[in-house]
Amino acid sequence: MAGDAMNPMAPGTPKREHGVPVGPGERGAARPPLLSLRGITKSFTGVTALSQVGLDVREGTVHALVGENGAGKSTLMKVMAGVLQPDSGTIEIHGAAVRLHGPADARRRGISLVPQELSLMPHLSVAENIYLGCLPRRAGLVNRRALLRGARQVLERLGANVSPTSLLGEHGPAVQQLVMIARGIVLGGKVYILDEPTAALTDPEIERLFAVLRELQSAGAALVYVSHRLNEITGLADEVTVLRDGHVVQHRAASGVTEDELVRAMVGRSVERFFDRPGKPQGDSQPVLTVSGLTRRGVFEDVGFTVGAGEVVGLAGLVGAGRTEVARAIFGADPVNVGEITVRGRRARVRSPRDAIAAGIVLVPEERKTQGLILNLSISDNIALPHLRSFARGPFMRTRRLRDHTKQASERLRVKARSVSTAVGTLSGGNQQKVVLARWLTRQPALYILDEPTRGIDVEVKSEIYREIGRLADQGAGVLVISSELPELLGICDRILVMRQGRLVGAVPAHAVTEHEILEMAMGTGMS
Amino acid sequence: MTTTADSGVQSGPKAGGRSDTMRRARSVFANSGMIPALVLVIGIGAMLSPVFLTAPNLANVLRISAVVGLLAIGQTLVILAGGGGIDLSVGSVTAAAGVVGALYQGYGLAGTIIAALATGAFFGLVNGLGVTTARLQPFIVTLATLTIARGVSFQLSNATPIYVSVPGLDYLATGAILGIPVPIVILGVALLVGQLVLSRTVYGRKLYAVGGNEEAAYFSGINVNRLRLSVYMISGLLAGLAGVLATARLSTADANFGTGYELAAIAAVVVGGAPLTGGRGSILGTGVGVLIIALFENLLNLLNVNPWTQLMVTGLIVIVVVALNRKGEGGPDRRIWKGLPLYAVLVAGALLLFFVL
Ligand SMILES: Nc1ncnc2c1ncn2[C@@H]1O[C@H](COP(=O)(O)OP(=O)(O)OP(=O)(O)O)[C@@H](O)[C@H]1O
Ligand SMILES: [Mg+2]
Repeated sequence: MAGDAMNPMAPGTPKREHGVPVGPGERGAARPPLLSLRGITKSFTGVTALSQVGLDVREGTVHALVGENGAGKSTLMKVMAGVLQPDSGTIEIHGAAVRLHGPADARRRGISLVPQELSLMPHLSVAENIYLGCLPRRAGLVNRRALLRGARQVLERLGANVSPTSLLGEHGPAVQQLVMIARGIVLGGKVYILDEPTAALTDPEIERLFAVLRELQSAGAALVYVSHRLNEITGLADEVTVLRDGHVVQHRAASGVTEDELVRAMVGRSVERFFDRPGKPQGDSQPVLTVSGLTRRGVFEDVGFTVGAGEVVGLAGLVGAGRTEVARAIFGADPVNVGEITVRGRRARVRSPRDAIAAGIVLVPEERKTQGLILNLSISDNIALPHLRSFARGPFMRTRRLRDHTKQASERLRVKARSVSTAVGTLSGGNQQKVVLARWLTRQPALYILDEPTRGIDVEVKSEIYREIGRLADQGAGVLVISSELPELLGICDRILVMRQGRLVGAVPAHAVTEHEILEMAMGTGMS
Repeated sequence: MTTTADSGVQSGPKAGGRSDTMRRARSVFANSGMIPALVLVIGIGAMLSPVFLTAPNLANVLRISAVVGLLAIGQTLVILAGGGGIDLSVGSVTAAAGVVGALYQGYGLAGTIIAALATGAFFGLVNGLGVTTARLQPFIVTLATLTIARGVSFQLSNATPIYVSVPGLDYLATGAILGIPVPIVILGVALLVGQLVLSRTVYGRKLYAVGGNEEAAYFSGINVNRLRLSVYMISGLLAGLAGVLATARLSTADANFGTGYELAAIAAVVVGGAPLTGGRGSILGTGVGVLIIALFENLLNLLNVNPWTQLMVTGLIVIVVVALNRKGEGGPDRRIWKGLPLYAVLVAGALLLFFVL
């Protein structure tokens, strides 16, 4: 595969570890490859994203691709789907070399991509977004009936309870993610490429998605799957390829692989992945945030809770339960009908994020691309954005101070980039997320609201972020975390609040509750 | 690789800031069609016309472009701030400022200047409030102001040019500082200050942020509305200043002055590398854009090309340079070559009509 082609002279080139070979008895090896990559190399100005990568995707199998943030996974997927042209190397379909002239060409050849970053039209309906580029037609006009019927079917198949005629912009990232997946499915084809499709989803949706993927698989499709949630790999994949710094470092059968083995291949060493926050004594700290009777009609109702100083509180719930909406309201990004917000004992009038920041509340929003980052500005400008004043003398920026500070902040979260002047838009998805987090790390607000803070972040940095969250709390800040990953919430939180359909339905200490119990509360099926 | 470490070590304490600015400036010009276009104009001009590269001719070009140059600086800020920002009113506001200034000539030089600047700032405020508080589209708001300001000019001047005789005013047109004509000095200072503001100040960073992603900037606690209001006011103020310069040069305030100048200013901005979608661009680029267009028109004049052909050629130049500028964003843009036949047909058709009729 790729090992022979690697440059032994390059310093820091990871050594290839030979994994368990794909045995003849495995489902994977017996089948002929549908799509093959041979010696794919791709560099961007100054960065080699892929170097001599080879990969086979076989009919009726799932090929998982794992690796740290910036390892080159998304770039490889884009090459496979004709979005990017490789610098060298060949792509073969059924053993015949082809050149993909663009995404449309790839689609014609039966390759459909669900990209990592949401790319949808917020002002079009859900149905139109699903069929974007392949609207069903009759006599030259859009066939609305076929459009709605098709959209309803695929949404139902994915278990998404969404009206196909509603505007896409009204929905959060989870629904948008499902729409992206639905689009990949209606495009049809033989090869499905999914780049972190589950990053925005909660467990029930993930289960439905997997059922659909298995259906596609047994119908003979070949799937390529990327995820940082390694527990998904073992259940779903037949083969795994591990990328590190643009090189293939391991290729093996998925059966029997442990998460630890994968992590070691990705990072090059073992990583302590789980973080258990030492239990804090309950209820003795001063509350930094008190919310009472918070209501936004039709969205959430009568939400009230407190977050104590030094306390990490988790907000759990299914997609659409109103977690993000509550966070946005506290941060002043959305209006509320009634309700009171108190920060450190002072009544806070929060009408805009600006007010919230002044009152001591900061938010890491869930959508990094639209709400978090200015993609064409540098890492350092993005980190400094809310604190420009503190890097200024009079009206002028102190460029050097800014660079030093932001360099530190980005190193702390291991943002992988050539320098802090790199435009954020050219970073990998996970590295962009790190920049959003790094922005607020040095500030000392009363309350952090973190909405899906580790979305798209690799295992190693995840544990780094868990430690940071613990440190922030130890310094006396309150932290409110929203996460779709329950193990994450259970690991880092002191207390967990559960929301269901816009209402708070439970508050439990994190050490006294199981994932299952939280899920039951969130779905309303349990005894509580 | 090692670049990160190197840049940290090499740049001494003082060099740090400068190298950053240099890099930014370089990134503005790298891959852009501006510099080739400028070199081309100067090269062709030097070959075809013996007068083109002489100091008096160049000074004349710059002096005349001072008015549009000032408008283009304001336009750059407005476009940069994003949200569909554009200021179509600047040409009319220049005329209105000139007329109001002329009406206050009884109060001397200071009175004239202050009245003109206040007029410009007032219309800027109107535009800014329309865009921010009333949430109307910038194109529509400033289009309305374009009409209103022109109407105000005619009304106040009774549609006749007002002769202006204020002691000291002509210094702004004919004076010189260290041998450099005053209008050129004013334009130069405005360009430098503008560039400094964009690249080195907190205000500049905020402008790029709001233009690049309004929502993310809002979530970072930036007062988006106040910032947008400010760019329209600056644009209005600069139009007021342009009105003063125009009055000084012509010794009259004419309600007809500046028709179409807003489009010239917008052309200079886009030739200077700023996309109309906001978030990118620089004052330096706009300066080069102003220069390219002004030199080109001057050259066509010197070559006695008739004015209608001049219009066509200038339009083509704008398209070509902007297409070349786009090269910077992801590979060569083949669209320009695909568009060329279209434009060739257009020009041929126009010439044909010209000869037949
Ligand atoms: N358009 C681009 N311009 C410059 N560099 C790029 C560009 N796209 C990707 N890169 C670089 O290529 C490398 C690989 O990026 P890629 O997005 O493939 O990573 P990834 O494995 O998908 O990471 P993640 O898990 O964070 O999504 C990164 O170093 C990234 O900065
Ligand atoms: Mg990626």
